[in-house]
Amino acid sequence: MVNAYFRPKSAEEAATLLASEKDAVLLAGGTYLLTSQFAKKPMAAIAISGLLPAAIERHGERVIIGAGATFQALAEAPGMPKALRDAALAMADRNIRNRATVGGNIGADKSCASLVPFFLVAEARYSRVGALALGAAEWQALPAAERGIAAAVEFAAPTARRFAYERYARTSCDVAVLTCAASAEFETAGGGLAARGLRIAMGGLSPHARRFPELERLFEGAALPGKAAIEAAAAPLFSPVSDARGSAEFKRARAAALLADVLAALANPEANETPEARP
Amino acid sequence: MNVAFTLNGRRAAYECSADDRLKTVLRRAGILSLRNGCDGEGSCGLCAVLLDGKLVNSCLVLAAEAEGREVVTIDHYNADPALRTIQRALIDAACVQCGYCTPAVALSIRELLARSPEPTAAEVADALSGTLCRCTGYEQYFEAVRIAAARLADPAYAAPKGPEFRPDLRHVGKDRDKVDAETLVRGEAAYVEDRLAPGTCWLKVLPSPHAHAWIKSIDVAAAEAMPGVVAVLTHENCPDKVYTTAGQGYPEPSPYDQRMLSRKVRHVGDRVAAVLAETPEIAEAALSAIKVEYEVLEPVLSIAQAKAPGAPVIHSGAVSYVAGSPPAGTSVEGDGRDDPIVYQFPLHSDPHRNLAASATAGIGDVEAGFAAADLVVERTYKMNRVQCTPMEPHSVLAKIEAGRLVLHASTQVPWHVRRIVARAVGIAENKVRVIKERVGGGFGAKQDIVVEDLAGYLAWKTRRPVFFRYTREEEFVASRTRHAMEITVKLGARRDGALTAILMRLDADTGPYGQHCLTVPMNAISKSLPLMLCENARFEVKSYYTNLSPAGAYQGYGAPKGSFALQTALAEMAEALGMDQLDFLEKNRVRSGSRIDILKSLGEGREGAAVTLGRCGLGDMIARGRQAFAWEGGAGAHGQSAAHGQPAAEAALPESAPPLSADWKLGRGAVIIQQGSGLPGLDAANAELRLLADGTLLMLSGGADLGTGLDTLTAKLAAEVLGLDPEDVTVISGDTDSTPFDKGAYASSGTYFSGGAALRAAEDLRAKVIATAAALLGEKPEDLRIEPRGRVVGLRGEISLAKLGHLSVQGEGHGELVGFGTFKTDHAAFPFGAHFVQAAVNERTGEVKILRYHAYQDCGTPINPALARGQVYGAALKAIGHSLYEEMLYDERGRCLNPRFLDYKIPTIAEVPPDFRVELMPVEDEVGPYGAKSVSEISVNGAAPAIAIAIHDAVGAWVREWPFTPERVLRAMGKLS
Repeated sequence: MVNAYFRPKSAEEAATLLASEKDAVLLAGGTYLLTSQFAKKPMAAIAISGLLPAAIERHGERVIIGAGATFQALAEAPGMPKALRDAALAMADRNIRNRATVGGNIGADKSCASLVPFFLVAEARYSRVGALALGAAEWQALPAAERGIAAAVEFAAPTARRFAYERYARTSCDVAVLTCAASAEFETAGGGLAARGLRIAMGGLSPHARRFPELERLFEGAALPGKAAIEAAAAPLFSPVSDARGSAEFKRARAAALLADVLAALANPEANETPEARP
Repeated sequence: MNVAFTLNGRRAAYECSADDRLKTVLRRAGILSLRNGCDGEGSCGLCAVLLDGKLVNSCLVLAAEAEGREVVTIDHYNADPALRTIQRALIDAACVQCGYCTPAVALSIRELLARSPEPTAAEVADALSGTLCRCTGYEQYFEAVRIAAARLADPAYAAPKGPEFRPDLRHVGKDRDKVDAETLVRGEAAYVEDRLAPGTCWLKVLPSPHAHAWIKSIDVAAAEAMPGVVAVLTHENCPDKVYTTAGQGYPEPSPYDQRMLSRKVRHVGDRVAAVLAETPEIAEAALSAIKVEYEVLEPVLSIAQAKAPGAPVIHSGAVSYVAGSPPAGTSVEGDGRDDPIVYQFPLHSDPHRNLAASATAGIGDVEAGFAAADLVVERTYKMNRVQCTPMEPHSVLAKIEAGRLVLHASTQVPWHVRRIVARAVGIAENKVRVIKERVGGGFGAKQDIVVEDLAGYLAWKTRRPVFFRYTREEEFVASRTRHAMEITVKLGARRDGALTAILMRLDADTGPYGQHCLTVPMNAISKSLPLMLCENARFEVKSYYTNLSPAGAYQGYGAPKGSFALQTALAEMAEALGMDQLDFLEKNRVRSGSRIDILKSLGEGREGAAVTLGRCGLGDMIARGRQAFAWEGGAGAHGQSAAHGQPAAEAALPESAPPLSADWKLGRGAVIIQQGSGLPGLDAANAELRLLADGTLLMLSGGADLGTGLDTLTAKLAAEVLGLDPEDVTVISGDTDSTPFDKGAYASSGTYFSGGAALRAAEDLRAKVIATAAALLGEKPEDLRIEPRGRVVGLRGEISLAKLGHLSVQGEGHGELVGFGTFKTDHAAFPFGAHFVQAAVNERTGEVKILRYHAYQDCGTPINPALARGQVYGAALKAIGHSLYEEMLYDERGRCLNPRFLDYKIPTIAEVPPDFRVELMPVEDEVGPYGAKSVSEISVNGAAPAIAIAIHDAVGAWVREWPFTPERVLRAMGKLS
């Protein structure tokens, strides 16, 4: 329940309020914080819509996305990697995409946050209001109260680096049960294409989406094996929990299949295309 | 705080709290078009507005966030030509059913066409991705957008006409506007929630946290002392009587086993106490102040637990019978503590062993039939609970007017509400009036008296107006759900494919109370078994109490489960025989002139009788499906299709199908289905038709239109008979004071019974008009006929209905001309259907996509074809949801784990099959109005078995439990332990 509402005039003022107000929360699009599940949680809402940059820009290899950008704007933005657009469209309900923001997704940092796996494999950095920028993983490692306010996301998308993203959800407009993003460069080696600098992040298997270095090591530097081999190698490394959306056994198998699909997509040269078409 | 923004083009300022959502403030300001299907979860989209031009859910926007911004609702656009075009297109495409979501849909399309004047199907789906609709199946929205886009580009554009039927008639068999569509598409006041006046009190219920417990003590003193609390009700001060909440004909085939509030709670969410207060916030606070001490009992959470020896007893009160005697060997003596159970007549029950009802019957000798078989197949199928999820939850406004109790209700059964509420409150029926408002979806859940008893009693007791509306969570846990069932089917067949015996053993979970405990499971038998011709057939039905959420009526009323079990078992038998499943069905199905002997055992509450079928259209429908699916081409070695397991990547898929990798395998399935058309010999409907002074008509129909188009149907029938147009007929319906009795909207009875009554009223009025005109014209009645528009034409002269109407109210005239019609019949009218599915199954992940869904449907003469197709689309997509996604889940304490749309997934527009087709293939009935039969319910019976068969065809695994989640598919494939 929102007990108090603040509309600061600047991001800096919002940061000050965040540090000083009891039960302070940052209110961006509100698509998570204002849902009825938080109806009984006291909140002092600090409205930051309009205070944070919302531009989505690409300058050569560098991509900068304002934390105030909505998912819909991200899905429509030209020049973004296809995988990032897929991640934005993973939130399949347009009404929600029109409100949900990039900053909100980073801030909420849910297990199945749509964008976070991509930012993890892009090794994105989050610029912050009045504080030093942090890497996506560093941000997650900080206690929530110490993170401050993310102002923008910046990452490199060099031509040589491919990205891929997929999710598993029960229906099209469901919150994802599992998410997976991967990124790598490929080079010819031993008659095949070997993945270099492979990065894998998954959501739905832990309280927050995270990188899986153990998986990255499995497939680094060699031609990617077939889907069945990937599944067999990866499944034992997952420790999901049973819940209403599936048993641990199912989720383990499904996560392995998801990873195999993402790596297969990554190996496809079309993975890095940057479509202009709007959804 | 004060918030100022531009609302629909005008500056506006409102006082609001920090927590107020934009939706709340707008509703307070009189914007009624914003609906509520998810209680602020942001998952239904029915409160959508344009905020600075973007479509957003106003429940997820703090009112304060609207400061200085531009807010647009559909109310603004009601005067906007572009939106009027969209609204007109929605009506033309028959998209307006219950109408609860329609304003949000219209606004979404307005926003879409503003940015994309010629949208693709994918863009349409994306634009409507945030709006949940349970009625329409979404398919006709695509057509509405096409029409709207074309008309915006060319105002003279004429939409192509849909299929028409009965060329001998002017209106019947042709598409006409739904009579309430204009009101609903504009978002005007129509539902119970729109009738609240200042001073209305709010009723809230304290739900039980336990599945099974005695209330040892309850202390409401603190709650009662709160300012603004009007009344607190518990088991200690509520009426001491039991009743059933089942809205069925009296005497009901459901036990009276529910008290308004009981000292024993029997499911999580059961009523513990009720608070009536001046605001919802005060009511909530008062509930929190109630102190309850429970004696927690072991819960019964499955059929297996319910029937286990020594199982906890859910109802331990004294059992009595109004008529008849208890079955031998059953216990009737109560424990002196629990509420009594009263059966109106024996249902072969044994409630102290958790058996609420049972039935066993059959024809021939099944054991001899199995002995004569070359092959016997026995399989067990399981169907889990699914929720009706009407977008408008149960809702009632109860108030006292002139010393009477008046209920504005969202109900399917106004007269049953009147009878049951009168009993519960302890007053005579003449002291109760029930007015059915527009219903935002019912689907069977609103056949029960779920909220009206409590609201009615508190209004009567306090003399204050009472508003009681379920939350979405209450709708899940304390409304009515589809019964969970386990059905074992045993089939015997000869090598040539002839069935020699069918045995169906059915166990149902009726939940904590016995509403519909026998009739729903029996319908699983009576709407599946008669499809197959077999001399030896038997069924055994048992319905058990459990401590899970209450079960009840849901569209199809048991039939979808019987259909799933029997049709899938037949396909399994076909596989075992090495036959094509459709060939096997063809060999054994009913056909024109078949004598259906099993109906001797399936009388619905009375002695049954064998029926000789008239013309049956199943052969034509199957042939149509065979052709569309290119079914011929040879069966595989084990009865699979030639395309069995074909990689989707190598096949020609429907145009808008998603790209599918080689992991996706194709399969197909087909089933035949049936339903009834009301309850012959049990139910009745009435209607009255008045000729008004200007020659127009007033139809007083007892029928309850749930958004299905029943009022439109009755208007068309009257117009057809009296030579007028539907707009010349105003329909008043479902008001127990002003319209005559009707059994209500259930059992597929709307068109057949309520429509039949309307037709007879019209024919009665026509006869009176002819007689009167004959006297005035000096001609013989047999020489007169009625011609369009409203002219009574004789051999020598003519007179208009307007003139007759005028004379009817004059002192020198012939008195008011009123027709009355009663419909009751012993004739059973069966609609049939054949549903065909092509599914793609991912053999690595177990996911299933429906690529093609064709419903070939016989509803007799479709009175309004586009509305009839809409009913079929809606039912079929609902059934796809039940088959693939929907399931109420419970923990080990009986708590529902997914009582909200974020966790319980119903299909969105993205789940619509790329090739979704309904073809009406009418076979006229000899009794129904102009040959009509029922249309809606039957169409939920096909998806589950057809999809199960298609999954097997694709990946070779039989999935025998619905929903067919990826996890269950993988288990059936042996890929999970």
